[in-house]
Amino acid sequence: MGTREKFDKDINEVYRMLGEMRDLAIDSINSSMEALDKLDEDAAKVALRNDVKSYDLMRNIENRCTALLMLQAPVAKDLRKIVTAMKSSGDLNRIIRYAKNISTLAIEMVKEKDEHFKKLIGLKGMKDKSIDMIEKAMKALLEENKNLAMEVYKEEEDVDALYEQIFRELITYMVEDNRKITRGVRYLLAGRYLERVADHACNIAEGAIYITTGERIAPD
Amino acid sequence: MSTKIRIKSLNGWFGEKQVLKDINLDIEENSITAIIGPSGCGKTTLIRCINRMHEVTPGARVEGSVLLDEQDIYKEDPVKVRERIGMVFQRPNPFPTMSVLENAVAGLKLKGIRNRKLLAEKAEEVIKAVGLWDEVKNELNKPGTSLSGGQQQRLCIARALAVEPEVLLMDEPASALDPVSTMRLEDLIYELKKEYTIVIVTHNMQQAARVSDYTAFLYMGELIEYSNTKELFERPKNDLTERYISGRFG
Amino acid sequence: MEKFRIFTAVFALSLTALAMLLLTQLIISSLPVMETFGFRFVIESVWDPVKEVFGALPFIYGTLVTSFIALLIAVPLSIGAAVFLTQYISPKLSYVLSFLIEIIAAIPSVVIGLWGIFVLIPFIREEVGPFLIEYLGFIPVFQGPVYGPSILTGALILTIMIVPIITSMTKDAINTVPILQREGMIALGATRWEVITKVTLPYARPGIIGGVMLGLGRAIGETMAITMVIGNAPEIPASLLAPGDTLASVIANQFSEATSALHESALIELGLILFIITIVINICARLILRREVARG
Ligand SMILES: Nc1ncnc2c1ncn2[C@@H]1O[C@H](COP(=O)(O)OP(=O)(O)O)[C@@H](O)[C@H]1O
Ligand SMILES: [Mg+2]
Repeated sequence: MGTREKFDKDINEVYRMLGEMRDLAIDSINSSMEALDKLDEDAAKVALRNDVKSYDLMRNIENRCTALLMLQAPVAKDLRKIVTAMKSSGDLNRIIRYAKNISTLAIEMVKEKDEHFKKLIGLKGMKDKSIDMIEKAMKALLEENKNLAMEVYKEEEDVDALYEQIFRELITYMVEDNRKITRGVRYLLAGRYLERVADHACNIAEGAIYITTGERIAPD
Repeated sequence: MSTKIRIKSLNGWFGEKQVLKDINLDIEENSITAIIGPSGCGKTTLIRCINRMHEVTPGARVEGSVLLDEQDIYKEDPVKVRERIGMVFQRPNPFPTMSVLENAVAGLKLKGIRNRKLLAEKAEEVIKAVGLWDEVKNELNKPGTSLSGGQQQRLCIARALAVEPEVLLMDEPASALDPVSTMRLEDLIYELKKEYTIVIVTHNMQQAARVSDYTAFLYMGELIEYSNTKELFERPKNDLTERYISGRFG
Repeated sequence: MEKFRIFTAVFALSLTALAMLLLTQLIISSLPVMETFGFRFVIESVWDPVKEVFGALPFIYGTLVTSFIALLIAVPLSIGAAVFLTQYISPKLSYVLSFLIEIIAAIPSVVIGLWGIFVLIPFIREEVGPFLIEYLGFIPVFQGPVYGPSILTGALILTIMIVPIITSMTKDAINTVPILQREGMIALGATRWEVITKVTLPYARPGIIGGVMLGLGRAIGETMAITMVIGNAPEIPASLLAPGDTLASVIANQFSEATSALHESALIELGLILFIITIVINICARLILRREVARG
């Protein structure tokens, strides 16, 4: 195998692992939100396990990229793909970490035998949006599609708006009834984590644009 | 920053074969400009046109102009042009019949400088400038060819510097050197840009990326892309450039 | 394989043996003269076969002086020609001119001798000699009467014969100078002339010296042509314009009519001396070349 094909094979493997991390991330968010919604400890543990797997994947990706940088001194798109893979694996790992944080909130509520004082409609909306963003951003990354990546930027605004809405709503609940403060803060934190997830999805989209065009276009 | 060399509509031939096709290129003063491209694309020919060495080859011909400080060198005495634009070759070529010291000041002697003390001083100055002094100060009277390859190449650079040129052309100066000598040479080239405008031909892309400020990509006698080195290596505009620098052909 | 080695070894050894045999034969045949005259043979300048008095000095002198003058003229001429042929004209023209020069080397020396008799001798007698005496007469070697056949005529004939050799060797030597060497000098701002004097000729020096040595060997051994023009006088003339003789030509002239055994032996010893001079020159050439190569 020529060095050229070896390079292509290695970089494809890196992107396959990124795909694996994306699946873990989506799985983690889904199950942690389910755990929070149903106050289900078993569902919560899925995100905890995924976090370990994700960390290994991220390190693996990093090592492969470091080797490629060192041995092949890549330039142009090759260089951009490697730099972006390293950053995106970090973003996905952060996403999985936030999902784990949501699971932790669920576990705390189970331990304290809490019950929901409201339906988590807003948070579910945020969850759906952020999963959609991860999917789109990763598709844009793997298929080098700039337009798709730009859509992710737009959706982030929706997520932010949702978060703001939830924030106001919960403040009202907590001001009304101080027994709801602990649970309210937990919902608030969950919302905050999902907002961060969406932010990292945006970073991945930014990487997709960089690979495709060589330009760095920041989300506004 | 200003333009030191302006290459305008330059065409070059070997006999009937055209090897440079309408090259337009502005070279920035006190910068390092790398010329890259696959073997036989005309890199050597291009830099040899910059100090009128191309026409030394029998049957070789040039059209177009090369402006040095806005003066067309093709309208001047080639001997004078070469005093202002020095050249370092692909393989080290010290003169075997001259000592290390004589090699260093061979160009000065051409200018009619005979004062031995002056010559010795200048030799020391340029040999120091290329970082060779400590290695050869006890071997100044040995033949220039008794040094190692890397030392010989630095001696050749010293020889070119002694004439006090404004521009230094280097044709794959490290291609015959080992990695350590290559690194030292690259450091030296980087140092030299403070005082000289440097044009370096290399087929080693990493080398171009490491040392140069600007990079020109030549393909089959045509200038395909020319820009800031970081720009060219991070986001080449031309697909050919991209394929070449990422090793997909050539 | 083994057989082949033995086969070639036999050839090589027989050639060496031949050379040794030749030398021994020369020495043995010279013994009568050596016994009679001893070392005086090489320092005496009277050569009288009738009285059986033999001194070789006039011939040694003639050989060395004609060769030396020939070199003096031929070396600059040949180097100049070689530089011109390789550096100043197109390869095609150079090829034609080189061919013409090399043809001179192929002319049988008796033909050159004839040309010497019919062209060179009258020219020396009527033009060159009077001119030299008139303008350079204050130098002792250009005094006295002008003869056609003379040391100078011999030297000129030798010059003609060795110029092609030296030119062609010098050309070859110049052609081996790497382009990179010359371009190195051009790039420093050298003119064409400076490139020739500072790079091309110094680099080609060992080859040129080889050519000069080869020419010298040829000049010293040359017999026919010089015999026809030198005048064959067994004397050491004060003037270059007077006749003289060389080792090779006296042997050629007198051997067939050697009057006595001693005379014959004396001629053979002249041959021995010629042989030794040639060997010494060869050894010198090798030593110089070795030094040159070590330097370069
Ligand atoms: N002396 C020469 N005579 C004829 N053609 C030549 C000569 N030198 C180079 N060429 C041709 O000119 C083209 C450009 O050569 P060159 O400038 O040496 O390329 P590079 O330095 O990029 O490898 C090549 O196709 C080569 O074959
Ligand atoms: Mg080249």
